[in-house]
Amino acid sequence: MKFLIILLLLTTQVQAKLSIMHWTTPEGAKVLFAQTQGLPMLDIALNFDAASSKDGAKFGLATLTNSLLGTASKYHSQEQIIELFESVGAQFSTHSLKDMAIVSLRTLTRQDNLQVALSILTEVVTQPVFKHKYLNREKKQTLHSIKAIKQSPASIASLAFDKAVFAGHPYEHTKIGTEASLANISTLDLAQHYQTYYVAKNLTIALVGDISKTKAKQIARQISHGLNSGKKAQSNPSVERLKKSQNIHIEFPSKQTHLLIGQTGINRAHPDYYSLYLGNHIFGGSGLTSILSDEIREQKGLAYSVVSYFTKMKSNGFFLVKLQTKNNQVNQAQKIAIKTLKNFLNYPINNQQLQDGKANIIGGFTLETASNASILTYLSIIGFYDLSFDYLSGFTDKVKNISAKDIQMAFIRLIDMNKLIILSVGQVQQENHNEYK
Amino acid sequence: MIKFIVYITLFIHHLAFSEGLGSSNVSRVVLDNGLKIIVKTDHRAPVFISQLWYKVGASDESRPNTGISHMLEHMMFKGSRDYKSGEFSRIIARNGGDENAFTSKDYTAYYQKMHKSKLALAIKMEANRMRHLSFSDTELTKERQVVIEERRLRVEDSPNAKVYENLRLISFDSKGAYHAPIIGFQTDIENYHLSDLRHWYETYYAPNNATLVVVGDVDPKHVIEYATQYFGGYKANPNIDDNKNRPSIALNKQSRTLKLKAELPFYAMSFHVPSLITTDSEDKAYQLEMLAYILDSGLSKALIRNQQIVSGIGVGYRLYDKFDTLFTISFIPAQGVSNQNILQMIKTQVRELIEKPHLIEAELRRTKVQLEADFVFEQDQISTQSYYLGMLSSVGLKVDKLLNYVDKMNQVSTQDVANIAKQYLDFDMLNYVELIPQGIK
Repeated sequence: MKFLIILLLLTTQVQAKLSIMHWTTPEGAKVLFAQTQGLPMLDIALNFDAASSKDGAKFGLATLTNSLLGTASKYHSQEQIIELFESVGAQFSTHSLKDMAIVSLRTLTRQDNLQVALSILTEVVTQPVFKHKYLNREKKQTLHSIKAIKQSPASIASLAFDKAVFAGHPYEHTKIGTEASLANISTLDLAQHYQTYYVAKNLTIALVGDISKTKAKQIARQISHGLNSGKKAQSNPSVERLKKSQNIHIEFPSKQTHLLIGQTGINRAHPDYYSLYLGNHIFGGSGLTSILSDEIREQKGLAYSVVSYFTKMKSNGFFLVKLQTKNNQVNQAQKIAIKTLKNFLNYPINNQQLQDGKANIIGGFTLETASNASILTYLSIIGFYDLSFDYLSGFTDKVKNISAKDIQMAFIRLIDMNKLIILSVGQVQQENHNEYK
Repeated sequence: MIKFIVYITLFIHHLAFSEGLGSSNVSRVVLDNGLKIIVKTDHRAPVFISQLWYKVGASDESRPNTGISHMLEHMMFKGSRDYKSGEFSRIIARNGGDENAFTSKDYTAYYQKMHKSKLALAIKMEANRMRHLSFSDTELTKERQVVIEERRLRVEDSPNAKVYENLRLISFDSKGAYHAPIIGFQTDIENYHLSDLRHWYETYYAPNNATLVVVGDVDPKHVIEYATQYFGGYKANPNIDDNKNRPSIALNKQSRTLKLKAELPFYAMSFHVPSLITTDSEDKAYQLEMLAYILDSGLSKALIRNQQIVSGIGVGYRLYDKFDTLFTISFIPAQGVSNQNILQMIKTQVRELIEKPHLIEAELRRTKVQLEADFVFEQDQISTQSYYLGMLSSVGLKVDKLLNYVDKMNQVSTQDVANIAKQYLDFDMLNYVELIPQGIK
C-alpha cells in the first residue's frame, strides 16, 4: 500500500479541462464519460428510468426492485457478493428516487481490482435473482423506515407536500410504499419490473475516472451487453398546476413547526429554466446570503434553516420555501416568508443582488466539477434528462445575460400567490391556544 | 514595495522551520507567532479550500457556558472591524465562494472553497476576524435564537440525537470534557453574556492556538506569503495552554431510560477507551479502530442480514479524540425483539471474536483492502483532505499520522483484535441509554 500512497501523492498534480465524451452502446444504452487524472479510481453510475413514478398501483415496487439488486445473482449469494466487492475495496450501492433508479460503483483502477469489481457489478445488474427471503427482509426494513418517517416531522411534512402538489400524478406517493401496498408485492412483480425497465434503451451510464476512452467503451459495452435492449420507458404525464390554494396542518408533538410553502414547479426543459435558477439562487438558494435567509434568520432570528428550491425532474417538480421555527412563531414566520415571496414577484431585485447572485454562480462554477463524485452526478443528469452535452460548458453564459426583469417575469409566469400550498407540521393548535390564555 | 520584501524575508525565515514530508505534496510551516500552516497541493481542478482551525471546542467548556464555542462560531459571521454583519458571507459569495464553519468537541473551524484566483482574499478575510470581531448585543440576541432553533431541530425534535446526548451525559463526569453537548444546554445558550463570548474569543482566537490548512491548486509559497502578510502581525497568547487541561472523566455502569414520543426503539451503549493521543501504546488505538470496523461488519451480517433481529446497527470509535473517548455500539431492534435479547447476541459475537480470532481472518483481510481503497477515494474531495489535516493538527497530532494510517491498520492481526476486545469490551462496566417509544399521539 505504501507504494500506492506515494504514487498518489506524486500524481494528483494533473489538471485537464473537463471534456465529456458520449456514445450509445449497440444495445442502446446512452454513455457519458469524463476522463479525470490524478487519482487511480473510477466511478460508475447506472441510471435507469425505473424509479417510483413507474410503480403503477404497487407503491414501493420500484424501490424494492432496486434495493434487491446485489442481494442475489445467478451465480452468487448476497454474502458472496458483499465479500467480492469488499475483497477489492470497491463500494457498491443502490439508490432509488422518483425518476432515477441508480446502481453505483466506486473502485480502484488497478487492473486486478477493477476486473473483479466490474464483473460482479455486471452480474448483479444483468443477472439478478429476486428471492423471497430477501424480499421479505427488505419489506421488514421498509416497514421500519415507514415508522422512522412517522417520528420525523421533516419527513412527514415532505411526504404530505408531495401528496398535495403531485395529487393524481405518479410522483404523488411515497417511493417506499405503504404497509398495505407492500403486502401485495411479490418476487414476480419485481422480476417483471426488472424485465420492463432494467433494459439498455432505458439506461444512462455515467463513468468518471482515470481510464482511457477505449477502456470506458469496453466497460459500458460489458454492462450493456448483459441487458435486454428493450425500450425506453414511457414518459410520465405532466404535473398539472394547482387549481386552488391549500392550507394543511398536521398536528405533531415537536418543539418546532416545519413550514412548507410552495407550488407546482418546472421540468429541466422549461424555457425559463435559467431565469428561475438564478432567481431562486438569489431568493432562497444561496445559504446565508439569500433574501429569504436575510429576512427570516439574519434580521429576525426566527429559524436556523430557511431555504427555497426547485426540484427538477422529467415532469414538473415543485417550487418550495421551507423553514422550521418554534411552534408559537410559525404565524410570524409564515407572514414574512409570504411577504418576501410576494415582494420578489412584485418588484425586480436590485442590481447589486442580481450581480452578486450571478457572480456567486459564475465565479464558483469550477467548484461544481472539482471532484469525480460531482462530475458523475452531472453526467448522470445530463444523460438521463437529455440535456445538451454542452450543458456544463454553456451554463455560465446562460446565466450571464439574465436581467432582473427576466427573473421577475419568469417568477410571475410560474408562481400564483393565490394558489399556494401552505403546509405545517407541529404543535400549532396547542401553542396558539396557550397564547390566547 | 518594502512591505513585500519584509514578507519574503519572513517567508524564507519560516521555511527554515518547516518539516518536509519527503516526496509528498504536503508542506508545513510555523510562523513566529505560533500559527501553524499546512498546505497540500492538488491540481486536479483550479480551486482551493482554506480552513482556519482553532484548538477550542466543547471539551474546553463547563457550566454555565456549555456551547459557547459554537455560539462564538455563529457570532464570527456577525461583523468585524472591517466588515458589517453578514458582509463577510456576502463578499465570499460574490467572489464565487462557498463558506461555512463547524464546531466540535476539540476544535472550531472556518472554511472558504473558491477559485484559485481568490486565495489572498480568503486568507485576508479570515485573518481579519481573528482579531477584530464586533460584539453587538443586538446581533447576539438574534443569533442566540437561531442557535436555540438549531438545537430544537438537531436535538430536541430528534429522539435518537437525545439518546446520544444522554449517553455522553452519563458516560462522562460533568467536571471533565465530553460530558456536555457541543451545542450546549438550552439554559446555557439562553444566558451567555456578550462578555463571556468576548473572553472566549480573546483567550482562544490567537495565532498560537490555530492552524491554517489550504488544499488545492495553489502554490505553497503564496499561501505562506499571504498568511505571513495577514496573520504575521498578531501576537501569540502565552497563557493559552494553562486553560486547557481538562481531560474527560470516565463514569461506569450508568444507564438511563428515555420514554419519548417516538415510534422506534433505540439503544446505545458505551465502553471507555483511550484515543490515539491518550493511549499508552499507539498500536492499541489502531487495534480499537480495527475492532470497530470488524464488529460493525460482523454484527451487520449476523444481526441484520442473518438473524434479522435488528434493523440497524452501528459501531463507533473516535481514534483522534483529544482525551479518553468512547467505543459505542448502537442498534434499532427489529419489531418485537427485546433489547436484552440483542445485547445477548452481541455479547456472544464478541466472546466468539475473543475466543476464536481465526474466524475473522478473512474479514480482517477484506477490511484492510477496503481501508487502502478508501484512502484513495478520500482524496477525491479537497474538503475531506483538509478536514483530516486540520483535525490532526488541532488535536496535537502530526500530519504523518494521516499518511501512516493504512500502514498501521495493516499491522493489526486477528489476535490483536481479540486481545483489544477482551481488554476494553467489558459488558459489566458498560453504560447505556435506551429509548422506549411512547408513540406520537
